[in-house]
Amino acid sequence: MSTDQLSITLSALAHPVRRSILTRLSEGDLTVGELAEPFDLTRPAVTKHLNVLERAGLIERCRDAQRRPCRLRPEPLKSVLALVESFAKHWDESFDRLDDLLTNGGGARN
Amino acid sequence: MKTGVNVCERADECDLVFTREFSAPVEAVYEAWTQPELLKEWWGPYGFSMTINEMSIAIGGIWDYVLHGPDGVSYPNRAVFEEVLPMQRLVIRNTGGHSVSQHLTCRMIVEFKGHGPSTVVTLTMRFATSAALGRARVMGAEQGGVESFERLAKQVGGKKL
Repeated sequence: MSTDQLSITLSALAHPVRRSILTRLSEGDLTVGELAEPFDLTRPAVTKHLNVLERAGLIERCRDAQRRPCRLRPEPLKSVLALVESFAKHWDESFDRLDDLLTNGGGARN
Repeated sequence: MKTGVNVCERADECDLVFTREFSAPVEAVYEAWTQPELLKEWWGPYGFSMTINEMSIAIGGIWDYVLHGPDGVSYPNRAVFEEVLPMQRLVIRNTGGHSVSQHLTCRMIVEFKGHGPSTVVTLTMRFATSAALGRARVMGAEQGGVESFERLAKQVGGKKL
């Protein structure tokens, strides 16, 4: 089991339900019940995903309010985002050039 | 961003998956990946060029190449072809390459799906998370400092596998 922060963050992001939860929390705090609504999942199942996100430091549960809403903590995402973006740039630009090459029948060179 | 991106992880591996559709039949796309004189026309980000010292498209075949950055820095790479299924699939074990400040030590799985006049290419970069991706983080990611969560949602979460 990897223990460095990037691996933990990636593991937490590796499930579509958890990515969807993070996306919704980016628009504002929500309770477990509110988060569970759009999914065909039980509340305990959603809670399990929230626990993974909380351990990865991607969310926090506010203690003050009775409803204990979940809140996004985006800091750990920065290293993942920067990494993914730099590879995405690498391939997007390479594939642009490949696209040019294929479209222009191999005659193009910058 | 015209290239679709996704991230998924298993126990010890992390995949970065890039998908792009090209307006060319699979034969032409495959040729552009496997003919050295065509490959060096497009491989690498803007401003980069490539020297191919050796390229043998066969299982166990070596692909020895150097990427030249626009700043004059060279990034040597050495790869081995682990699977070669013409017009369908290439698996390349790549070692080296600090291109765009990133460590490119990973397994690249390239899948070609021809649909008549167009072809979908899916490129999976498969990293051993604890090792290579950790190095990639040290090499480049921390200098990034990108903050917008929306962009992550779009790039990481917004694309379906």
